[in-house]
Amino acid sequence: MIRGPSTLRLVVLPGSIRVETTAGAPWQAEASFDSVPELADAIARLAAEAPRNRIRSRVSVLLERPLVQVRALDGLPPVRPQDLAALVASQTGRFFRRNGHPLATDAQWQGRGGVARAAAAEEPLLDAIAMGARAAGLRLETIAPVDAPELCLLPGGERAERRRAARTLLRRLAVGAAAAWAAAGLLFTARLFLERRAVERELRALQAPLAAELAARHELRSAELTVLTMRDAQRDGGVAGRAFARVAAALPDSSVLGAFAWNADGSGALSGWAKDASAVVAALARSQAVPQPRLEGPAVKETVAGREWQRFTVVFGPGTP
Amino acid sequence: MIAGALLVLRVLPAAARIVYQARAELQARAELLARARADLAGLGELRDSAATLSQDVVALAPRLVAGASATDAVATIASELSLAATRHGLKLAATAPLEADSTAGRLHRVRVHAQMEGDIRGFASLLRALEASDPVLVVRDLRVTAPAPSTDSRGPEALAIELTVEGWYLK
Repeated sequence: MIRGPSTLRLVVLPGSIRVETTAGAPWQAEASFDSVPELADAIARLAAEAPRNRIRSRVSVLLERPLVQVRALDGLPPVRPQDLAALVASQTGRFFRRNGHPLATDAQWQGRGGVARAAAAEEPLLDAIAMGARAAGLRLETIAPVDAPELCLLPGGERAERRRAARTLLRRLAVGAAAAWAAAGLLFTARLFLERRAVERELRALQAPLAAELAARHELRSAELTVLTMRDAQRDGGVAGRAFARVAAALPDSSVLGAFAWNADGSGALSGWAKDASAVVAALARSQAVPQPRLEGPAVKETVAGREWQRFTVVFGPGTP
Repeated sequence: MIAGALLVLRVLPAAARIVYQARAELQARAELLARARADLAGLGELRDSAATLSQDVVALAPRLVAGASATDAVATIASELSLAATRHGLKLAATAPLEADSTAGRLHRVRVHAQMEGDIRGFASLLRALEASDPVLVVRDLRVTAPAPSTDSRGPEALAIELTVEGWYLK
């Protein structure tokens, strides 16, 4: 469609052309031509007279009948919209009149009723229009029938050139995108490298203080262990004496201690003589002088110094001495 | 086309792998650096702990057995035991070092087995004295054997005493 202040509209009628601005200050001019070769000159002449801004002007061309044939086609196979133009172009003789010149065609589906709108114009006419626009320094935007402006009847050469331009643009965009990605990758890698270098530098700088700190921590741990060990030793210092004192206090009067053994894990044994060996165990358990006291073996009766005694052995603690 | 395929299928994945590894390494090094900084930031606290601990260690000095080697420490313990036995009316028959290879930091443990003779009163006071002694001496094993009761109780009581004493020295 026609947009912007620098767009011209060129209407081609049989034997004459009319050029007008579509925006900005209104301007219009007409010229006549006798033959198709003169059409290019006429377009160039009129376009040169048109007011322009600094941007390259674009021109949109409308063709009047009978320079263009427009048809409503029914009964076409239901091809995709992008394939419809090719289908019509392959059967131009079936849908359009031909008078010896090749035809450029275009077609579009109209709604959902299976009806297509198609248009055709002679290639020499279209070539002349394109040549005239090019000679006038205009950029040809579209060539369409007046009553079907949605169709595009650009000549084959122009279409091929546009396809080439589009391919070139696509290639450039692809190269640009690849270059942008490559640059981003390089920048990212460079950033990684620089950060790594900075981190390594800082780590190297911290190496000596860290070694000193590690040594200090080691010394501290050693000192802490020293203090704890000595506290434990102090705590355990009187355990043996207290155990012995508790046993001595717990033994009943009618008993004599013959031997006492005690280990640091709390186990041990004591043996001796008593009037009643079981009373010794009971006294030890009642007073909690030693943990888990129990007789080891039966008490043996003995006569010592003319008196009857029971010789006993009591073990205590989790293990045996 | 072949160059493009090589680029997409070989070069780019390899480059991506290298960059990914480099990034992972960088992260690991950065974490290491952060930990190192945090450690160094705790130096002040470490100094405070060190000051307190050094006071505690200094206070421990009298409680340690004198000597810089196991032999010295064993001799010191034997001497302490001999002195204590004499003081409490016991007779020190023999002392022998026992193997004790335990260490705690710079502390090393020594053990001495001692055989004594004497009465129950002297033995009890010896135990009490060892409990309160400096250096700290811990009785680990104890065996007391009394003679069988007899009609003749006028003679002095003679207990056979065996004990294992351990102490710590600083190397």
